[in-house]
Amino acid sequence: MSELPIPNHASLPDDVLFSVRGLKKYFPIQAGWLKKHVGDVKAIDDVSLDIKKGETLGLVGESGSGKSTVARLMLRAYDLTDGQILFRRSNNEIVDLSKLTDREMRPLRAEMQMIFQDPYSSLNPRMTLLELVGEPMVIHGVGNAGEIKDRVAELLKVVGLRPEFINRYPHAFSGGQRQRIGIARALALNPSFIAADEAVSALDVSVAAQNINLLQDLQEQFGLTYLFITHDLGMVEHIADRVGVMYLGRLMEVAPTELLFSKPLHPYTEALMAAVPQPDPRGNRTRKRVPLKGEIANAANPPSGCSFHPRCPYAQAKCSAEVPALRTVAGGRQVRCHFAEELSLVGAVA
Amino acid sequence: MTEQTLAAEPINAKKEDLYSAKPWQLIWRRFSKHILAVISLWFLLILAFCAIFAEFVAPYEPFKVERLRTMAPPTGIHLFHEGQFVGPFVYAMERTRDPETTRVSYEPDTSEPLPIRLFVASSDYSFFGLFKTDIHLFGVEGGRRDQINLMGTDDLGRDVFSRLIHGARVSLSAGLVGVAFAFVLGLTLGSISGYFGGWIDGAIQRLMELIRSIPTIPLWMGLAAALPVVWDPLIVYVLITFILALIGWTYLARVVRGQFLALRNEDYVLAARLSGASEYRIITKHMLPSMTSYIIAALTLAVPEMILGETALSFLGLGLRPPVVSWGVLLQDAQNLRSISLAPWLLAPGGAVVLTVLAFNFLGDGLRDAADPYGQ
Amino acid sequence: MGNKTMTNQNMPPERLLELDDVHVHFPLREGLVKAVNGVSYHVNKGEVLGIVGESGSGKSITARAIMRLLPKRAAAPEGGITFRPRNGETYELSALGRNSRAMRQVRGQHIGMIFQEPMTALSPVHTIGAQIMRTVQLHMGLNRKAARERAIELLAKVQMPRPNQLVDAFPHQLSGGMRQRAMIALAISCNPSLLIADEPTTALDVTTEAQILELLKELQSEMGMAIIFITHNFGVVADIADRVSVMYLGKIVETATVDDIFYAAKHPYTQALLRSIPRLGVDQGRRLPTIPGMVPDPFSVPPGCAFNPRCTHAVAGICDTQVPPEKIFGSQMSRCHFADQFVAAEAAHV
Ligand SMILES: Nc1ncnc2c1ncn2[C@@H]1O[C@H](COP(=O)(O)OP(=O)(O)OP(=O)(O)O)[C@@H](O)[C@H]1O
Ligand SMILES: Nc1ncnc2c1ncn2[C@@H]1O[C@H](COP(=O)(O)OP(=O)(O)O)[C@@H](O)[C@H]1O
Ligand code: SF4
Ligand code: SF4
Ligand SMILES: [Mg+2]
Ligand SMILES: [Mg+2]
Repeated sequence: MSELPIPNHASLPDDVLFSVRGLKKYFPIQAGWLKKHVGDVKAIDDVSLDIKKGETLGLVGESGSGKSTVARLMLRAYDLTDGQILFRRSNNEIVDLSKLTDREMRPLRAEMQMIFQDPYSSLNPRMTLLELVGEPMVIHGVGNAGEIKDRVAELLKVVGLRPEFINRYPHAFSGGQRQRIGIARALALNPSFIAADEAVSALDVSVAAQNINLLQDLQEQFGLTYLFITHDLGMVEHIADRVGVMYLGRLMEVAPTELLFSKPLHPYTEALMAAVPQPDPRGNRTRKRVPLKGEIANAANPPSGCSFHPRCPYAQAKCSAEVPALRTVAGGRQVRCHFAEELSLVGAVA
Repeated sequence: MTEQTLAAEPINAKKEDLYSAKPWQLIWRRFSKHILAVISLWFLLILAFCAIFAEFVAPYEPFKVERLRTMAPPTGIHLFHEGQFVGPFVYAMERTRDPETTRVSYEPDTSEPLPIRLFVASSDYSFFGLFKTDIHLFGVEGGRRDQINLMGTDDLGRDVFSRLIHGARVSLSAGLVGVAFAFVLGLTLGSISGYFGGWIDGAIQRLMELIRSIPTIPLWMGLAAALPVVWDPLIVYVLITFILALIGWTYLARVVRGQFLALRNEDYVLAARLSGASEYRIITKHMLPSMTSYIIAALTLAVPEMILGETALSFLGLGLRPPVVSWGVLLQDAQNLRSISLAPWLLAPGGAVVLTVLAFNFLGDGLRDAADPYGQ
Repeated sequence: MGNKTMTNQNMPPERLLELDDVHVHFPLREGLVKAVNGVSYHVNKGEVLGIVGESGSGKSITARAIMRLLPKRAAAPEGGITFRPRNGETYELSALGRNSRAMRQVRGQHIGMIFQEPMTALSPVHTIGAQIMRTVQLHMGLNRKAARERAIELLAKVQMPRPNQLVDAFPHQLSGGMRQRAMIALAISCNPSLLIADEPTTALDVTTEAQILELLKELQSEMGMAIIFITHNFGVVADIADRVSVMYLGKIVETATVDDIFYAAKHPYTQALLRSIPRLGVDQGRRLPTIPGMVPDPFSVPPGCAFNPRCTHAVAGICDTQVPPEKIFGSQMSRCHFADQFVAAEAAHV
């Protein structure tokens, strides 16, 4: 269904780190006595995207739109229902992660890591910082105890924590600091890719700003590539090079950040931008803000045709009948709307 | 490179202690604030000591019949003899029989104090089959008439206190062995259920609901009635604990399953997987350590169920039978009204059951509250 | 300000609520937590007062002090709280007992409250209709039939879809946004003069948040109700508030009209917070300006101005020894020794 070219191991452009095609994930719905399979939650339904080396791809969308699931599939925390995930290893070898078993995946895990939203549940409370941050090294058999300890101390310094804290347990730290411990753990094996799933959403304004700066510094220092998931459009505009907008398990639009914010091509992108209140009272008063009606549909029973059509102010007869494909349009952008070229939509930024 | 986020914070030794305290230290810290639980812990430790060293702690043999000392009330302990301090002692009991009612009664013979001594020699016993000895923790020296019966005697003149201590061994161990059986069943089925989910989980859940919906007493009666009377008491004992465990495991399985389900969704478990940890490492390093304190608390709370179950079964005559002494068997002696009005001290095992059950419950509550030392 | 003898008599006629030097302390084993440490503010009839501040600054505890619903651990609150709802009667809330008749009447009839997590306020075992009916029967003396009609009318008013049907729904059958609507219906069921909203949109998606904000604005102008809107999201407060109070460590550091807060803040904390938020269309360069350090733990609040260890304008000898007074500039209050020197100097970010 996707109109994006499907690369193979040979044709993957040099600057692409991740190339995802036709990704699908259906979670079975079980009911009744012996948990019979009665249907599927189509959490991810045909997602295709490329992530270039060293860039930050932002992913936005309402909760339940499938942002976290995409990240988890790319890191193979879940088995996929269908699709292809090409990944360029640090030695330039290209592997299709979708074909690997859990065991075959293990050595690759050093190269891709994740940072979590909840600073409390993402750190095992019964492990010291040394054990937590050092665990990936222990698992991959990198270094002896002394080397691991030195490396952990160094990593703590890198994320702005004092190496003296190495024997403390996570309960000694605030939310923002715990987030940094999680970042140190993710960095332990020098990954090339980090998926940050709402990594600053639970933090206070001033702490979030500190941690965003840290993430950007680390990107520069270690040449990291980020998949940055958030529902904060201001944050994504600040940090991302390109942004993908998700709705009901599908990518609706992918575009370079500036273009997306100044000239969205998808009605959902426009609605999302209109909904976000800006810290600018005068601007809010003059901005046209028609709140989107209704709520995100049920992923177990998605609407026919364009999944956004029940809420779309521009919907026409065709929209409920035909599923629009993710098309590449002028300017290297991708959009999934029948009328992308005809609509003239308003962005959040002039 | 990064901001001076923490640079200014001085390291405070006292706080550092707390910040790098091991999980079990925090658990102990929390637990020790629960005064009732700490008292219960001591009580149970002492009880366990008595049960393990029952031959040594009990002044008499549990089966030693004294024709001339039936239904004697508890011996009073005194400190002063004729206005003079002589330390703890008892008076010998004078047995008299009312000529009209033929009822036996006992009068203290206050002429001479019988001092209570530690480590006195009395009946022989073998110390765990290691060596033979006749030393008992306490007792009085003197003739057959000169006895100390802290909780009186029964209708055959056997010392209730000694029987209670020996019964503690059987009742407590029945509880513990039952819980051990239940633990194995509950842990296995609970973790299978919680870890794999899906239809396996569904099937085990239904089985648990089924077992829990059966009224226990009739089930026990049915199962116990199936045990032939002629079987060796030891086998009966094992089977009884097994019957108790067959019913008790559902509770433990539920706790284990709940923990597995909760932990499976913790981000730190996902983080470990994404670091390449094997299933084995995830279970042993991340899941089990977080679960142990909950499981210990659940086990503690399951023990009184078992003890009550054993007591109830034996009391009804369906469980252990004499000559095995358990609290339930002892309570059987107190079954008729006559003995309750004439010899209320025969109810002492009932008191022991109540205290023990309460202590296990308090202890379990304290452990449960302390099990997660990181919650607020 | 700070005048203990201030009573109802000299409360200006447009005033609805006045807090005068309110203190709430928690004597804990680790030390005394001054969660609310001398808070004074007022709310006029029919206005929206936004209260912003980082986590733990005392926003919720102040609100609960007004409702006399403090946690049991709190020491008896100090300070005056005067409330004069529509019926013209004046209540000294600070003198009323937690469970007194008058207080229950105020809570049921004159002040409504909504929270971040609707499930904490709604009973899970009763239908939302039953819960609304109980309140209106109790406080408005309606019979069952009239109460049910009122409940449906209220649900329609909060734009609950299919109010005739959903009146019989249990809270767990509703989505997060619908639950929040149900809670708002319950809170406004007796035409309160004041609605206290404690982060009502924090757990919601941006599109649902926009719907709820729109709804609150409509209800507010239609019913002439005042709102105290607590949030840590500056975008939300810019959208809904007429005036804004900024809290830091148990004190209000600045109160002003929404425009003055955003374009002419006179307190270094307000200024720094606003600078650290990434905004759409404002290129702040690659790094976000942050506030150094972190919020001190509540047991060791710095002496003098609580913000001084993190303040770039702090002057040793003054800021770390003397508690700054409330400086008044027309309708603006700023609790900083040097507030007068910041006039318009920082208004650059527009
Ligand atoms: N029940 C309680 N016992 C002890 N301290 C408490 C209690 N409730 C609140 N506090 C303390 O009071 C202070 C203010 O808390 P409050 O809940 O008002 O913060 P807040 O500004 O609403 O924060 P948030 O944005 O996280 O909701 C905090 O330091 C908090 O730790
Ligand atoms: N483990 C799971 N089991 C069943 N459904 C799931 C699971 N994880 C996610 N989903 C469903 O997949 C959809 C997308 O979820 P998610 O990726 O978490 O969204 P987001 O991160 O955008 O909020 C939702 O409908 C969610 O309910
Ligand atoms: S395809 Fe139709 S319904 Fe879908 S976004 Fe475009 S206009 Fe709207
Ligand atoms: S009083 Fe001093 S420390 Fe406090 S905000 Fe003003 S300048 Fe900064
Ligand atoms: Mg998510
Ligand atoms: Mg709060």
